[in-house]
Amino acid sequence: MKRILVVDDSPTMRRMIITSLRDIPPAQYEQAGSGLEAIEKMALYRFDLIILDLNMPDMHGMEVLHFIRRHDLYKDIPVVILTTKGDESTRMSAIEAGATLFSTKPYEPKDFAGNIKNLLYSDYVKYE
Amino acid sequence: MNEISDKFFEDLADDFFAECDELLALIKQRMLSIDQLRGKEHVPRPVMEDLLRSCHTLKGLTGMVGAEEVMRFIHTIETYLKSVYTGDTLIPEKATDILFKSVNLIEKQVDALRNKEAIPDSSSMIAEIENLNTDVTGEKELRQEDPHAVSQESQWKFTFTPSALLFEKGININEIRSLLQKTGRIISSMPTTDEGGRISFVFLVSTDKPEAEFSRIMPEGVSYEAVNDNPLPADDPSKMSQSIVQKNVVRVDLTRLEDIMRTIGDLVISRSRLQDQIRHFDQGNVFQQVTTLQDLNNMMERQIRELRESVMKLRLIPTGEVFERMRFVVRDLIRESGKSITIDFSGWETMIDKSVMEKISDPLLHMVRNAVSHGIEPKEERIAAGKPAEGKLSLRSSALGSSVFFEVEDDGKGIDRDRVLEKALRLNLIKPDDVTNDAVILDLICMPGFTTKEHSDLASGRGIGMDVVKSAVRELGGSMEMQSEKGRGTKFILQLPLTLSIVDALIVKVDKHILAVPLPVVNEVISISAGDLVKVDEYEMINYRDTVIPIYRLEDYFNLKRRKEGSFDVIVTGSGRSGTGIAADKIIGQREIVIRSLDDPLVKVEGVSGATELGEGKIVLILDIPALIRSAGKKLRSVITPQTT
Repeated sequence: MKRILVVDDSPTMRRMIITSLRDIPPAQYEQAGSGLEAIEKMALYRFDLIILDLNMPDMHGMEVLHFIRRHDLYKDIPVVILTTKGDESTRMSAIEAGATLFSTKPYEPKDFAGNIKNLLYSDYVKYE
Repeated sequence: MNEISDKFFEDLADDFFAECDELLALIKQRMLSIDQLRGKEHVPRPVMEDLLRSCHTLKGLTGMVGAEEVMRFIHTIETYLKSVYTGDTLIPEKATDILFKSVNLIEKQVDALRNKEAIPDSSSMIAEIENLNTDVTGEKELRQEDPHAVSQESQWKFTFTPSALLFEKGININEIRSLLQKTGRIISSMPTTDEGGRISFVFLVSTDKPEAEFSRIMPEGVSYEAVNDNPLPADDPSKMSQSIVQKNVVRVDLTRLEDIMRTIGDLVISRSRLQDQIRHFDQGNVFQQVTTLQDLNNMMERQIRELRESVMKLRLIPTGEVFERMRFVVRDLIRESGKSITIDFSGWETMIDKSVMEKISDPLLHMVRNAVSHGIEPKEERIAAGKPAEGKLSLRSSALGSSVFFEVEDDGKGIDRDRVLEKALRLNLIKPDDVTNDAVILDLICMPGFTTKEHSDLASGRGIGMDVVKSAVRELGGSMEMQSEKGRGTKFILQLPLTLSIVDALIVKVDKHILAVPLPVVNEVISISAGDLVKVDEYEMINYRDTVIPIYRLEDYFNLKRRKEGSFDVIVTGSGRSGTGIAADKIIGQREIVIRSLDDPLVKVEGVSGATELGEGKIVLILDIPALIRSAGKKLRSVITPQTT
């Protein structure tokens, strides 16, 4: 079973994200409410995909992304940035930092689930 | 989209609104601290950060449920806040006012979402925010704290290496962080990896505590070393912040609590069964087992009591939670009234049942409103009367035994007794020679529609209010008192129960009516058919165990349509010969009910002890079985006694 890490400081948002993925093949979900918590979860489990919010209290999502891409053990994990702030410069810097996919909230659950499914089950192509 | 119509998020609606409420409460709290600065001092960075982050999260959440208008509105606010957010932000007073109004409007919008109503329009508010001057640099006062101020603190580097084993033991990053926060100030937190890719976290902590003090509390997985001669790195807003709001609050679904209470009820029953068993054993010669069982029984009894007490405590919240919300409303009220009033809340720590607090917070607010708009005089009037220009309003709570007291006191003009009495005489509510103490005045002003005020104002409507306060207090089984002195002020004292009285009850149906019978008086429930009834004179009896007991039909007592045929359910109360059967058409079920007293003389009937509400707002009368039997059975007894003895 695939294992997915959902990182967002809003518990409701995390539930929303997981709920919106209920039609993809069952996966095991781990949740983290902050950047540090996310990295702790990475120390405990191997993840097949990380869904990452940007604006978080203790450690910004971009820093988490930098951390992931800097370390050999984690650098190949697909990271989906899911943020409310959808301006072009944020998008560009996230992609440059190695985000696999950049999505904004609110999103269409079906499309989002489709994207996640593609990332998990097909040889994904890095979005440019 | 004006409602959360998307079925997709329906399950999440409760979570969504609960989090919205939490975020709004946090936003308001931070706004209040900004308000106190009156645009003259810099807003502390943690306050701004909390405010920005809460707005941001709220924006994201409302966006997800399709409430685009709300999202756009919050976005405007966020944009403004960001534009003024520098290292030391200054928010002018005018902007603070507009932000206050905006937060109120967001709250209304969220409420509208909740109630699936049309979302209040925010376009004019948006325009106001957009027109705010974001260039506040000119107004800034130079008040920089020296970042290199000498401190008595020492710096320590803590390293935490998480593992699955530690995680299982509850030793995780959040736990470590909160321990470190107790130890000192976290200057930075940083994840690192060793050559093997193993993750650790390095925290730089500044503390005035000696090593011995924190070495004791550090769990395994944490190592530390002193950092010497390293100057404190200056705070850089782009770096990770150390202000992490730790919430020690667990949100518990009320139904889950009720489930716990039900389980406890079951446990109580099991224990009494156990007790019966012990009695059984006692007759044999199994002394050893009996002692063990008895110990067990005593232990269970204690545990159950503790469990019940702790669950009851779960329902208690500090009144401060509500004061916090009130402060926000009161601030607006005072502003609108144009008066100069200081309000003082005390007793923030007083604990009260959440449901009692929910029911009383609106009435309390109403009394505060009254005090602001009618009680406390305008400045000029106060000065003319030789009083301090600034009015004083206090809201206090305290607990004594199983009661909680609320006091709302103002130093305003007091209640004009003459006007109240004059009006009451005119309306024929009192006679000229009646006693006219504070209690009578209170009764009068609590009458629906009674007002001496000729014009309504914004804050408190016309006349409605005090009657609502009184009925809320009565509904909760509390009482109310008033002390008022002309020219000196008014004080209202509410006494409320700490928790609501809840009992298990059988819900029965008679004709078309639903009634509740408290379970403690029920001995047994039997089903009989009309043919089982034995007529003795005009009274009906049944064979029950080794005796005969009278049956009393609820439909007769309440003059309802009488059933002739079929079977009915009989509740047997009392035992043996002193037993009595109360016949109803059908027993629908068993429910936990909240008892509300009835003291309206029109509804006060012998045999009815109160009323309760069963879902859907349906009011159900609670039967007082002993009183019912007393009042109805007098004649009955005199007839049957000779037969059964």
